[in-house]
Amino acid sequence: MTNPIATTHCYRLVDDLIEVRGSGFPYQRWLEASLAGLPEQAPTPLTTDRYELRTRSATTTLLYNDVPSAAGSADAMAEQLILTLRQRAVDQAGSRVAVHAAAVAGKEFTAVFPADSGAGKSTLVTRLAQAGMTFLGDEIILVEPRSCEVIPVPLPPRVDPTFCGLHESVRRDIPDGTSNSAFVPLVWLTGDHPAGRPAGVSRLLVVVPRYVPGATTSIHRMSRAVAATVLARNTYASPEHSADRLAISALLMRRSEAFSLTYGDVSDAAALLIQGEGDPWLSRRDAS
Amino acid sequence: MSEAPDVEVRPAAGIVAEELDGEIVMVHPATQEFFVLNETASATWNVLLAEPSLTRACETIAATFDVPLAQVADDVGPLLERLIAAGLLTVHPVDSDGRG
Repeated sequence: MTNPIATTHCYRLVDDLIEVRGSGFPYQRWLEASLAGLPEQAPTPLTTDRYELRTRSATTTLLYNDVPSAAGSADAMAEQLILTLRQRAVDQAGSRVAVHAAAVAGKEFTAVFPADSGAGKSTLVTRLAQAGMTFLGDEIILVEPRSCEVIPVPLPPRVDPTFCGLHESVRRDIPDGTSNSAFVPLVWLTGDHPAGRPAGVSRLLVVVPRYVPGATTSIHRMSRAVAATVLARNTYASPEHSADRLAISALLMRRSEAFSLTYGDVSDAAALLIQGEGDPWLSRRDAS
Repeated sequence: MSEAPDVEVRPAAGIVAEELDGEIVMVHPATQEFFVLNETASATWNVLLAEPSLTRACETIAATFDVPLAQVADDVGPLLERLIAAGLLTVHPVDSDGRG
């Protein structure tokens, strides 16, 4: 967060065009990777909104279209920026369903991890991205209900840096199970694992993660009905639309395979998931 | 069960349910709580949807699964209590002509 470079970067978020300045995150690379994975679309007029983090002295100001909207520490304003962008993804989901989940794509499958904050979603998918999987999101993804296509919301993940060995120099006393909103400073992936949507990946896994300190890593198939309730609980929708959330979750689960992942070590969990097809846990396909 | 007056049990208003792999997942519209019924409970739920009369529903289950009626009553009773307590089912008296 001390990156002083204030070059102009553009970042496409859903159907909007957002310009972010001064965040230190390589948005341009993420933008290019994201657009490369998107299907051809008819040109549509894009709204251009501009966010900027401007630091003077010890105070950072978050500007929205050149108007100051908040001020505080650099960490707090970066956090504010991320939360704002994520909220935009939800607001602009349109016919797509916004789900509170992390997701990655590998060669054999796309894995969606719906879970409450503190379950380890961000750390797990960051670790998977480091191992070569494609990062699709650590907190919000969009799902096209008709095709069940997972659409990435590639905002940078917030993780405990020591957990992933990203910034060994940063040591913080963070208790297990802490919500990722507590993880500051924000840690950007380097851009070596860009977001995108690989073609030809048809197998969708819904993996419900459960971080249990000291537990041996294990993964098992679970009831798709139970997984549907987890998805429904983590779907962004107003409470009066719970029936819609359930219907969409059931639709998604009918095309998915459901797994329960218990882990005490994120590296073990990532290794298990990376092993891929051919392993007993993944050998049987039961998606209808 | 045959000595007790018959009742009809019906899904509470607004209950939305989906079936996946023989299990029913449902949401209560007022509490926003989600529930999952296992295969046995789902089968019972489906019988009750088709036959709200508790007596006749138990007879149907006994015939379908070839188990004594008394055992069905013992098994279904606790399930119904939980479903009613969760607000998923409502109980209605049956009129003298057999209609709820």
